[in-house]
Amino acid sequence: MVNAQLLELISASIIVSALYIQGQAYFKPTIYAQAIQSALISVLAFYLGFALNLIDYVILGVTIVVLRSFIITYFLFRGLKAKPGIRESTRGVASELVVNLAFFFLAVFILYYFVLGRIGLTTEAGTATLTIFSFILFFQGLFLIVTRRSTIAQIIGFIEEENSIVLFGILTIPIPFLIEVSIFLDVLGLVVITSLLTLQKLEHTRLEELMG
Amino acid sequence: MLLEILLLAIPIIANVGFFNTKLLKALSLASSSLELIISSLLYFEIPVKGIFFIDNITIYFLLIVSSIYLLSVVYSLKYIEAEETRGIVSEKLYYVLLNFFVASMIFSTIINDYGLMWVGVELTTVASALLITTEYSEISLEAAWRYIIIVSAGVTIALFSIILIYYEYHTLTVTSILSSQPKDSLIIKLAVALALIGFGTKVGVFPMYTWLPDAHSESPSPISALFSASLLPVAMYVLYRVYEIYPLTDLFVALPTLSIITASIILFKQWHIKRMFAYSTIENMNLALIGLATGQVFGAVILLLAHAFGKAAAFYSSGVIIKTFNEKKIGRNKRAI
Repeated sequence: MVNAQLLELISASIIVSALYIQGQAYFKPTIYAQAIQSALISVLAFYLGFALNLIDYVILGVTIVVLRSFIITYFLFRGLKAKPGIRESTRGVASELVVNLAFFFLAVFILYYFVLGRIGLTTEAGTATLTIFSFILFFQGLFLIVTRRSTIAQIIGFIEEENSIVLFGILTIPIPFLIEVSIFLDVLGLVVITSLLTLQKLEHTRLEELMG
Repeated sequence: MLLEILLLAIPIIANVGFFNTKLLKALSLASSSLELIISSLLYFEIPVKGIFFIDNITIYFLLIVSSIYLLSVVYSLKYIEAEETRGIVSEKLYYVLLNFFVASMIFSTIINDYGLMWVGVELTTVASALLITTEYSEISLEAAWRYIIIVSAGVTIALFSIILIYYEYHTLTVTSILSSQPKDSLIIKLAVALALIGFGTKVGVFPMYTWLPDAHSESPSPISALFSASLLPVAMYVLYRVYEIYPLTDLFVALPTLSIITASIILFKQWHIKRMFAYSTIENMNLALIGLATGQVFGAVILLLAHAFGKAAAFYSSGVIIKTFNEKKIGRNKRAI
């Protein structure tokens, strides 16, 4: 028997971690928040695994906690080149957070009343309400990618998007092996490429040759 | 079945020559020639159904990929020289990634499973991202980064679509879903719409096409040709297979039309020769997508075939011009005209 309230509590905590990342300009706490967010996703997977007695969820939880909470965190710190005290050279993080919150409430409203409430999506916990958390997390990740210029913040935005997929998948359908492989492949590819690219380029600026 | 497995395995097997550049080049050339021969032979075996799915539409996409693969390998033999590859990607790594890139495109095209098609499309990103940085510069790094981030974000949206398809059908086998009774549900409509945004990112559909001019302009010319002539049509093929589940014709006409209009306007302002071709690619892809969505499948296929060879030739020529005159600006290349 799945406790829907517990699922909602964990999902809400994931959204809180996303909002914290959005309001943070220092790299070190942002990276740790990403690790905690991924760990919360794996807690959700472990809980569903034990509640539904399905080993697939447990495997997924282990994969996420190992890949995202540890390996990606390691690569991100390595990308910082041992300068954990540095912050992103950006202004207006607070005002971006305000815009983000407005965006967040609007997205929740639209998704809940015009999409999820109408399509009849049911989850393991028996309610469509939970799936909204995955969409919110996806938009948080997208917003982070759009508003930030640093490689690390954009990678974290992308990981949030990947986390939202897991959140959507584990609440919506029984996990087929395929989705586990897909997520693994995605993160693996990202780690390989970003570990190379972060060593080369930490900030992204407007370049005349790439305009228009 | 043997031909399909060979088609997938040959480009990967070619990479065993990794320890020797000359051998790797020779194997890549042999692999690309064999791929074209096998693709042509498959024409006489269609329809193929099982683990792989090849019908009279798939085969043209296979022929496009294998033809441009062969042309790009031949062109690369002279174009990519050791001194050009001074960054992350060495000459050896270039050919290894090129072969993996083509294998992942072929995998996405022939596999009979929507989930694995998604994996294939994501693999193309992994294999091709570093290829953009072959001619190493700050600009090419930035272009590669934009490509990874924008395309991965888009393809993540496509995974939402795949999950919704699985939720509704409890299978991801293309032939099973397409042969089953069409479902008029909001979930499927949402899945098809999300696929347009998700896979559309890779096809070059508005508003997520911004990676395309950057990646095309900063890649070495053989890779620009593969992007424009093969990668985008492969993504379109996957999108079309999702579209067939529930044709949302209005949406699939509206967004590509908007893409054509915006790309046409931006195209006028271009001074970089390869960026201009990239915007032209956006127009052609979206025109082909409108063709597929309105039922003019063979018209779209003819356009894609013509575009593949024409645009590949344009990128190869522009590569020679840029290399000869060491200038990317159109106005400053008057000596070439």
